[in-house]
Amino acid sequence: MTGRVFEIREFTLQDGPGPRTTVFLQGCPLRCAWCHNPEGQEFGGGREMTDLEVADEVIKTADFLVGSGGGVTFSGGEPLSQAGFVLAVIDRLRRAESHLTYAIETSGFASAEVYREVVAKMDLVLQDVKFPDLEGYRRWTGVDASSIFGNIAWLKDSGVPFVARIPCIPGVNDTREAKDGVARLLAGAPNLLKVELLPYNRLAGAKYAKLGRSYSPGFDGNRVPDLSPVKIVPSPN
Amino acid sequence: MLGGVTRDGKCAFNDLSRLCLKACGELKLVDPKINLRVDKSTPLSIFELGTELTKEGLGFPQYANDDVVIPALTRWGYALEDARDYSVAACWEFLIPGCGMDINNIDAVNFVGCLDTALRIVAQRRGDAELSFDDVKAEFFAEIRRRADAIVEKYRHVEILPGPFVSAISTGCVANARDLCKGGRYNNFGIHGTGIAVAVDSLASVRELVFEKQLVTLSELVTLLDTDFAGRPDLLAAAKAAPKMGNADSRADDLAKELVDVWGHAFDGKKNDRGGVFRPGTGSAMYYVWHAREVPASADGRLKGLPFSANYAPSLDVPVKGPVSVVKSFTEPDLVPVSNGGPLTIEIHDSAFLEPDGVTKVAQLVKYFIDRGGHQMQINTINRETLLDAQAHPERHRHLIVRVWGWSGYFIELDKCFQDQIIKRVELKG
Ligand code: SF4
Repeated sequence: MTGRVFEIREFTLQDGPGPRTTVFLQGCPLRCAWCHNPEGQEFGGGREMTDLEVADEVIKTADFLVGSGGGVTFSGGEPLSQAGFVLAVIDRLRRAESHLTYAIETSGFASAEVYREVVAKMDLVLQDVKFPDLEGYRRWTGVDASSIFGNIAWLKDSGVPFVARIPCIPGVNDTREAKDGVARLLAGAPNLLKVELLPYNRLAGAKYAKLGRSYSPGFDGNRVPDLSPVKIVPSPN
Repeated sequence: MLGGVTRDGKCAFNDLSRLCLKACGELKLVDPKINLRVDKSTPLSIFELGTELTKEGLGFPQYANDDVVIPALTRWGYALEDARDYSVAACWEFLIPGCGMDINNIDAVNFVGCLDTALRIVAQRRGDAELSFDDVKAEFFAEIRRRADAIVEKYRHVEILPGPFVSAISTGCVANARDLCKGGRYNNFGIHGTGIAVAVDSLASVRELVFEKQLVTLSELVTLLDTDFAGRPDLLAAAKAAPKMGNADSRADDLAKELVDVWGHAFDGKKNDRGGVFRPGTGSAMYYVWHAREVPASADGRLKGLPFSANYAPSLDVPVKGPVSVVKSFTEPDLVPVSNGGPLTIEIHDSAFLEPDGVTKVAQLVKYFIDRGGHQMQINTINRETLLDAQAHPERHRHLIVRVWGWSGYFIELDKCFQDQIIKRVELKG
């Protein structure tokens, strides 16, 4: 089986427990106005690889990953858009090395079946939460996020540990109102490990020109986003 | 030098070692440079203490692996108790303080030059019979041995100026009424080897281009080396795309194993006129700059005039997958016979330390190197943008410290050629 891979990066330190190797999968159905990785959005781009090639690449340094309590993280683009490929890679890795841990970084944009099948295989989910409502997603990422909210609701009850990642975009979703909304959305999840507020990358626009695209995000990228913490209501026992 | 073992082999890392590491982190000075002796049994927490200094961007500690260095020294004839007492000369060459007249850095062999000579010899011989890659390899290794022999001859008679003060504080000199210049307990000569990675990459490229894919004949390749691949951008691209050391790719790493093995035994049985032995190593000192000027372009696609990497590190123009693959590749060879001193150098982008557990993760990388039988390692934290800004506005970066090779220094005080080399190193690993 083949998939399209944007990059395999080793020694990634912010993608889960321990040092990890991150497999960035090519292609994303969303079009976030602030995406700093536009060359990863197109499904036709990247490099075609077989599940075996990806697994072999990871296995070369698996002794280090296992010895350090690390593992493999699937990111993107949107890794769930190539769910079958991700599962095939995991399958190969499991057969070669039983002690790797698996994580996925996802927008959550996938059918419920796909989301559940993949997440069930994970030791950790890095779940993007960009907005508390459909309107925010529709306006700024161009998709109908019903599936995202359904999947997040399921994740909260799934028992799979997860980290919520909120990209804080100045004037877009860094308002108190938006953050309170996200906090309400996440409240009551016993498996929520932490919430990470990721500041907008001011260099995000740099790559668009190279791709012959213009970058007009519709917000003031020079403003510093409000990174004040999100208050999550503790889970009712 | 901190950590390590006592003369009777007990762990010597103590509270004072810990305090020294902490104090260095607080002072943030270039000197004294800290070397930390570790081994397989060293707990991760000690690597973490060391990594706290790396995080500060001090360019040290440099790590030395007792599991490799002590057997290396005893193999060269050092008494076990003395070997356990080892320290480093100014940069990285291992020595025993107080009882040696070792000259750790007397000369060096240019591996890239050896391969260049070998390719020309083999290409000349063309027509004799069908050439094989093994012919190239055999000639290359023979050339390394020839140059090693030449060094043995060259230093038959070494006269050293008397050093009454050093003699007074060195073991045995006073008792024997003999100045150190006439020889001490150990009288060995250390020999550096430059351009290991460039030579390995070039060898891998010769195998792929000439013998496997047959894109070019050997004599055509030699001509291309003399003309900087003029008119053949396709072959230059193919050379650059051939396997490279540092990517956990056995097609290059197996050749590195062979080369290091040949180098490690090139001086076996040879003695200098003081009865000492020759200690081959993976260090380069300044030779990596001089030696790079002596050779034309190399088969890995390195054009004339471009430098080698310093010490034991991937070639400068090689995109490597990352530090884990680098460690893996560079610990494939048996490093005991080449432990004169000469570290693997790794650059880590300072974003590695954004999260608090970054220190643990980087410490795990160092431990991985030690556990896999690495001999010596220095790991630097660096940010390319900062370096470029420091070149443009030195006044803003008076305290920026970088590791150059054996030593750290203030970036803005360095010669431009060293500044550029460091920036180049970072571009590739960033
Ligand atoms: S989900 Fe990520 S990759 Fe996809 S468009 Fe948004 S920011 Fe870019």
